[in-house]
Amino acid sequence: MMTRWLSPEVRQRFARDRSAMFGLAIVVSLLLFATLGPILIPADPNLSDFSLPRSAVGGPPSASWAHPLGADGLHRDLLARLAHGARLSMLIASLATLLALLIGTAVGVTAGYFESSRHDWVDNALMRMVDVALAFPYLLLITAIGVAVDRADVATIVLILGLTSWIGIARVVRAKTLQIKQHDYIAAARALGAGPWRIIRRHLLPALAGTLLVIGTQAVAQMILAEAVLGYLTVGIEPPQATWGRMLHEVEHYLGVQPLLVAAPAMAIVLAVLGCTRVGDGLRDALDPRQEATPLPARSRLPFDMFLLAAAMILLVGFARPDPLQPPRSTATSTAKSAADTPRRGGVLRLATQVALLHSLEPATAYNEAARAINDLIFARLVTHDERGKLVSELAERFEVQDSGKRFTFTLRKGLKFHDGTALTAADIKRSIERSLHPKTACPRASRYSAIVGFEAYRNGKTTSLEGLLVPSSHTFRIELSKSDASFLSLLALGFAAPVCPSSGVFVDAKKPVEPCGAGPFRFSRFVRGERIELSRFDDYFIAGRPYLDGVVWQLSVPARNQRYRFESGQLDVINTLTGIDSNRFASDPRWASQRRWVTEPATHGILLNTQMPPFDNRHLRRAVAFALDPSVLPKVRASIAATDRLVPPAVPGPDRSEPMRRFDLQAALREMALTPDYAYDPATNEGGYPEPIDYVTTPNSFDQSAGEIYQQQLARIGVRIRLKLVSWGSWLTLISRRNTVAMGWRGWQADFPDPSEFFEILTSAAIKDKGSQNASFFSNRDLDDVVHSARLEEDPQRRMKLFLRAEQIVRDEAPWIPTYVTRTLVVWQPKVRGFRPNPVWPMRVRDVWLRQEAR
Amino acid sequence: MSSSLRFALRRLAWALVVVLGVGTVAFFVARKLPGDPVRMLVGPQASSKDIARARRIYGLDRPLLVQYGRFWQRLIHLREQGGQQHASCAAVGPVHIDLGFSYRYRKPVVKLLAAKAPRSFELALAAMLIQVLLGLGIGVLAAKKRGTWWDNASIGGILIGVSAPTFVLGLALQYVLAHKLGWLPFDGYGSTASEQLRSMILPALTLGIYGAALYARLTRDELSQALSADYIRTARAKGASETRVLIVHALRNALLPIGTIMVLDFGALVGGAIVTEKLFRWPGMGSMAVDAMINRDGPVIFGTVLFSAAAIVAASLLLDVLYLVIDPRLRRQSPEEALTSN
Repeated sequence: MMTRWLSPEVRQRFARDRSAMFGLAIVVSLLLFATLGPILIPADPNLSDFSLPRSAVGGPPSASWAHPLGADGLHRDLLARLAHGARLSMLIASLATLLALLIGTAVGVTAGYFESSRHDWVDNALMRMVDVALAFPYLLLITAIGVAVDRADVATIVLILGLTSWIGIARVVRAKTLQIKQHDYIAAARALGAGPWRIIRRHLLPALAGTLLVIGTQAVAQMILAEAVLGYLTVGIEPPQATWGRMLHEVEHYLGVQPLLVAAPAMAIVLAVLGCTRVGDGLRDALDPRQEATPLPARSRLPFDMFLLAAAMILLVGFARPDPLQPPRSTATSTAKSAADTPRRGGVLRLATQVALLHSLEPATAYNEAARAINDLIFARLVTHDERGKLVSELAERFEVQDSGKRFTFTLRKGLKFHDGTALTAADIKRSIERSLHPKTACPRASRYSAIVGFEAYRNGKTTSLEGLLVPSSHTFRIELSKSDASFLSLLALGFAAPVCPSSGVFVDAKKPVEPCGAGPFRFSRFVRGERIELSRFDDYFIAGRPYLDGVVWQLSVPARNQRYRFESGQLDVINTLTGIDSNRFASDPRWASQRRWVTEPATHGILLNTQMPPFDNRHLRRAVAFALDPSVLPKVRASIAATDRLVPPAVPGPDRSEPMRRFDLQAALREMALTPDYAYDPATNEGGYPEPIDYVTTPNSFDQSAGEIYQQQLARIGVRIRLKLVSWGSWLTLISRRNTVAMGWRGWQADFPDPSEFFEILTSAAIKDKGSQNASFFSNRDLDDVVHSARLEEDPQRRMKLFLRAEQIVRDEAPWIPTYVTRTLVVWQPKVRGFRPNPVWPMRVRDVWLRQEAR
Repeated sequence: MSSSLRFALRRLAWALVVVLGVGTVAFFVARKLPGDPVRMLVGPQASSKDIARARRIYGLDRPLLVQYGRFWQRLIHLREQGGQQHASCAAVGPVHIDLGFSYRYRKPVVKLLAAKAPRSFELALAAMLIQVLLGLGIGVLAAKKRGTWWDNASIGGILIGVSAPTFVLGLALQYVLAHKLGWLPFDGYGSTASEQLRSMILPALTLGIYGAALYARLTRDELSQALSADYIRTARAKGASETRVLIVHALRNALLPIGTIMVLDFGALVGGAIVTEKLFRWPGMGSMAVDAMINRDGPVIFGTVLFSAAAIVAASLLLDVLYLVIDPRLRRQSPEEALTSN
């Protein structure tokens, strides 16, 4: 009997309930904050201010008069974002609740009304539908939908939350309807000839209003939580917009460094949820007269949760100090003994990677960062890169290049052995390369080896042996190419060309993985899926006495934050995955100076502009974008980023870098805008510019998302508005490879080996396809093709680099791809780890590492 | 009994239909996710020729409906005539179960589930234990000390627990108990039994505190209502102590709704606690499902959804049967109705 849902008694009862009134006060203040905050706070929530200094620990700017709560990682005012976040979070929660209530009530009332009537089937059908929906794992469902829609504006989030939350409501409403239906006045109405619609509308719905109000208030609280979880599962609202959930997700890794950053959105969420729950409870008590029989004194007393919360907040804000960075964990005195610094055998080195799913270590098909690094230890190759990135012989004792780069002859070391004890001869190298390039092997870079004589015939199954691989004697191996390829030798340093044990089969059967078995310094010993990989020393390695370590343990899928925790507590010996803030701290702490090194990755990241699709089929618009971007602010967001203006990254020996390739020049950008047919832009009046927002496609939670939010601000200055479209990595890969699909987006490219040719291959017209194109800009330029082709044939290194310089200039002038940043990794190791010199191409090469005896 | 039996059979048949429905939805969601699993497998540097070859090798070039039909056909089948066993089958006597092959792990999905499900089951059990002990304990305490400082503090404290998103609670627990105090491992599973037990504490606590709030409130409310009932007055009149009244008389009556929620919760937990498992790197169904989603591993998404749904349906089926045993009057109602219409 909840018909009198806003009667004076109910209001009175509610007003007497102090806890509920506290809740109401919180909700009202949050609503006020949401409505007035954005008006009163002068700062723009989406505008970065890079003039603000970083905080003392190298994190985001701390609090100041202008920014009372400080700023977030992108230097945006935290208070302003909190206020705008309040607006959006509460709007989303309310709309989603409304939607869920609407659907839930419609289904529940209809089902309830027809239950045990002539039309019982309606009830049955609806409730069975509810059964199916209820059996669906809720979070899995919203994640799936979130991933599937690839677009996260307010309407989408409201739909996702609303459409998945009505089920519980429907069940409660149905049960309540069944109760109400038994009252005499319903029977009376029916006897008077009222139809179902009239009874539902005039009698059932008003009687349900109280229940709905209670459910609704509590649902708002649940929606605020659900929105936060969506953000955590990377399907939250589109940046740069702030919701509390998104904000919390953005600052998660500052926990323990700048606690206030994390506390602010977390407190907002807790307060809102608590407020709504309190109001909901109060309403329930006030509306339900049955409760009067057992008055609940707790509710009339002071609300304890509020006190606890206030205390927690004061504690956190007042006393939370950032965790100090620990000094290296070993006793400094032991370094005095020179004996401690002679290599010794023994010990297990503990490493970790963020990579979660290492499905296989198969060198012919495995293709991710972690597999590459681990395979480098298990599989030796003919040649490899030394510490300076230079190609040197490994299994080969020496090699010769003949016939103007078309013939390579390798002389193998004597007495080489595989992990399983069998001898490694030249025939094994031929067999292993043939295995990787076998028609049935899904080798991702097979085509790159197409210069080998007889490649096509072998790949098409016409021959059973690759003609260009020759075995003149058991320790001589020869490769013949049909055309010269200046970077071919580097291909032999990759895992695809690594000799594998004879037991590995003639091709790679994806469904029958074999145990990794090669001739590297460590042998595979155990793989605990999703947990760790264990390697142990290979005693017959071709360098006697190496490796020093007994083994290496690689922990899998350890998030960056936990890697640091483990490293500090001594559970890891080397880390190379640090969050931006932790990199800053380790990099700037003198105590760690001899235990760290930056390793620049042979990769370039930037923006692709699709040259065959509007609007960037217009060259001037592309050039305008290139001039308007100022990558120099990117390193302020993350220390492991360096700005760049050219295609070939510093980690790769490339053309002359003494002259800058491109400059940030706003005036030049505006001049280019004026050269476009209709998009001239006047910054003074904010008139003109490109009329539509352009989607910038990138992946969530990447640095590039942050970069995208900065591009967004920078391009607004020339009248080009971009919207961030965040898609999963898989979608991104697929989308950018399709013609006329992505106008603008992130494009990163990592070289397999340090050679400039790696960066131009993707831009050659040969790779253009309707689907599956590597040339994501769909850029076709005769001059560039000619230059790149000449470079491939050119043997003189200096002339070759000049050609690449010309290629870089063409890319700059035509702007199909605008390089903006390169990434580097800070590798930090414990003092007991000796002899570790991170390799630029194979950063985790620990063959020559030994562990110092710990002083006890 | 025959009517009860018919009821149970009808429920069982319906449960199968529900699983079928969920399976169909999951199949198409899994296949319709944007992004190409083959492209993710071979990496960004692969040429289109290499991709096409990989697609054929993984059997992803067949039409969608053919793949769908083939899935149900193979899900449960008898040993084939030739006796040749498909690589992705798990055999239970002559019956074979086949959920297909994971693209990413390159293992039969059945085997993956068999490896992950026990982890989620353990975690669910531990979380349930904490929820019930903590929840009932606080609920009884609050009801016993109604209106006092105790009541306020315990119910208020637990409310904060539910008001923060699970991952915030988890992060905070991890930060304090593992990083600051160093009492517990950060995450992972561990290799020895004691390590495993210790690793389980943090995720179980995160899930437990979250759930305990619900049980505490429910217990307190149910007890408060029961305490004003006539039979309680009778018990008191007969000289029973307050504790005895509370535990023996009042709590017994409150156990039906609490038990109902417990069984349903457990069903949902077995399917994997996505956020918590991900946060603590717990090798269960939840983290596998999210990874599969991100990596477009269709067969694994499909397998985990089907398994979770089966767990939830099994839990409610179990409830139906239990109710039938306890109280035949309830047989026309579902557990939630029994709860909400009391």
